Amino acid sequence: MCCISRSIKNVVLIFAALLLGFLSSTFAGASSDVTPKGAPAEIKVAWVDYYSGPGATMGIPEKQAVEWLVDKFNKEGGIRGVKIKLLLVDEMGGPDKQVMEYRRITLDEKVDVICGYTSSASCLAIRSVAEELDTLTLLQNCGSHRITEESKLNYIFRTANTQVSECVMAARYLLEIKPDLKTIAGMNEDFAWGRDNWEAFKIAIQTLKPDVKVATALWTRFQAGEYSAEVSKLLAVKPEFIYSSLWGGGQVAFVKQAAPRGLFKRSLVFFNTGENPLQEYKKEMPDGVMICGRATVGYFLYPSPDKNPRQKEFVEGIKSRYGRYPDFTCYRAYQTLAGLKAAYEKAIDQVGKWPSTQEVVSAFEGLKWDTVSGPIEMRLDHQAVHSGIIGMTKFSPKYGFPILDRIKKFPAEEIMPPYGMKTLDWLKTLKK
Amino acid sequence: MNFAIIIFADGVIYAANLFLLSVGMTMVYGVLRILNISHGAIFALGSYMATSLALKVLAQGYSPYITYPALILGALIVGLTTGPIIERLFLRRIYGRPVAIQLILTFSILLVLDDLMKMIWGTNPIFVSEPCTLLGEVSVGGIPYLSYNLLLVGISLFFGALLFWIVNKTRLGKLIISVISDSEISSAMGINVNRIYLIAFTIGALCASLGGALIAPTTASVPGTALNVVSLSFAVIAIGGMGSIEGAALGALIVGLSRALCIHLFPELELLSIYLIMVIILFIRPQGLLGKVELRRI
Repeated sequence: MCCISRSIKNVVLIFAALLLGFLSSTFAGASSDVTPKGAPAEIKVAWVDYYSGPGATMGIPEKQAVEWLVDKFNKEGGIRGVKIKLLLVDEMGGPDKQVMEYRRITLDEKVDVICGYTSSASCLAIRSVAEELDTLTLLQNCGSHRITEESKLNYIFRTANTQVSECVMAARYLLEIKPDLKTIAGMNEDFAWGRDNWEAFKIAIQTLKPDVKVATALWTRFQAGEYSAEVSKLLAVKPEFIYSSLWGGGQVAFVKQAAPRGLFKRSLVFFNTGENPLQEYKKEMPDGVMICGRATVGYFLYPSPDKNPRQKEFVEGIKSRYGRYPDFTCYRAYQTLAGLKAAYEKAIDQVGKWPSTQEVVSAFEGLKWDTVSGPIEMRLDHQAVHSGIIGMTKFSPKYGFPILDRIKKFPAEEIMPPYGMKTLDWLKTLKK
Repeated sequence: MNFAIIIFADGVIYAANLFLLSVGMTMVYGVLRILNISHGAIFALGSYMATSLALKVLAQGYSPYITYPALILGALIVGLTTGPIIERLFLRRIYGRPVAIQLILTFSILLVLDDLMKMIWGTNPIFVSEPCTLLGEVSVGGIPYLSYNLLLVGISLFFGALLFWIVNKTRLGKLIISVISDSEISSAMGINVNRIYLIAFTIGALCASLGGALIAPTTASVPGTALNVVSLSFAVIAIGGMGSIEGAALGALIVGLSRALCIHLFPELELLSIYLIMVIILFIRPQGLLGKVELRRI
């Protein structure tokens, strides 16, 4: 009897040991929070954008979103247990200074990844130094298609659509609203941003509808703030549509000077960064102005926070911490940081340890990752593609400022050139 | 004919803006011989303060017409505080020192004030529209214009005339001219030169803050305004003649009209026009249109 009970006890013990071993190996394998072998104490990420000067109107909301996201990711365990440490660097000062800053933060601050940048001039300037120093660099807002088309990139990725995508999106949306469009005008600042915008839009609209004529193209000083003469000219030539890439304070000043003089009643006006200052207006911004936040898919009401828990968390988190709803710069920051995290995690899964920069680069190529506002795909040419939204302003008594109404989402393939095709060649082949 | 009227109206409106934003700078240079880069920050500070007060007035439910005195009050607060503080604490130490030191010091003040504004008002544009829209529109050459813009033309004319009268027709003006001509002899004759410097700089600061406050309803207060104002002001007073109030008015008018002409006829040249005029005029008259040739001791 004693022997029988002892053998039963042994069987139970062996079974329990086997069960324990099975469970521990199963959970260890399933857990993604186990710090990989060779992982550093922290991953240092520099975020470069305009935190002073006129560009701060976009740089500061973006910075706030970055801070919020880094806190959120770190609370959730960072990147497989490795916390993200943030270093903020001001983009003010021009391309030459950015090249020096890039060297400084790479060599002195020893950052692992550099993200951000709004100016295309900065992005073009740091291309060679980033490749020289082998530093993973994620560009976000700079729009020029040249950045990912002119040369083969190894360590640089752009995590958002190029500026051309909003031009094409605007052209497509415009022709849905005004299929009989005959005349257009441009109201842009006289530097690369304004010139590239107008050129791309003009080609896009005239390819989609060849009989559209240009009534006038106006070129203002950088953040001029005084636009009386331009408004007079636009009122005099009466174009059906005005394309404007004015941004920040310049855009607000233009709206304030143009709206009371009736320009928005005579012409349909479009601002491709109009979503950024929208929360600052009350009724100064008329209803029925075409607006997008570049070709970004996220907006604080799209997707609806009531139907998307991640969007709800993001919108409420930013609003409660900073008193302002997230704008497109915040959604782009989400795209970038979520992409970085996804690339590291994919690389860790592939190599089974903390990856080298080159291994993260390989993981990033072809990566598809999800964000608060939809999926993003990183092509092999290091250019991300995603859908974009556009709409019309409508004053909201609930919020006390104009919101986007009549929102339409355009899929990536309708607003971005396919992989391997040059942007300017693609623009000339657009079809409705 | 209508076309010419529209160009003239646009040119004069822009000229009024330029005069309001540059006259303080030329006033300070004329008296203190200091190229005051911090002028741009005082302008921006005036704009922010005036906008804030006007928004407070509206938030309290007062009549929108109260926003006009609120704008002026904002300008007075900024001009009467920043002027004496900057002059007493900083500029007094660098009179007669090399221009490079003056530029570095006043530029540093601009950067400090610019950051201060960012700390107080944040980075999002702040603006008030009521003072601008209350007055409605008028038609000029068949095109609607904001009455407030035409009011600014009148204000800048009045402002220019007032400054001209103060400098040329009052006792204070005579004392200022005496100090401009020779501060050492003025001092020897019993003029309190330091006091004249303080008054002149405060008037310059008031001009800057009033310019900012009056232009604010037509635009938005944003980071970076300060530097933008400095570059424009410098171009205007270089064309008109450094230190000359009449020169600032003439420079503003030339730039305003040529810019309007470019926008209506040659839009591609708009950006170039102001600097092209500056180069041509400085090539022909290095001292500016109404500037005086200065003798230097070597």
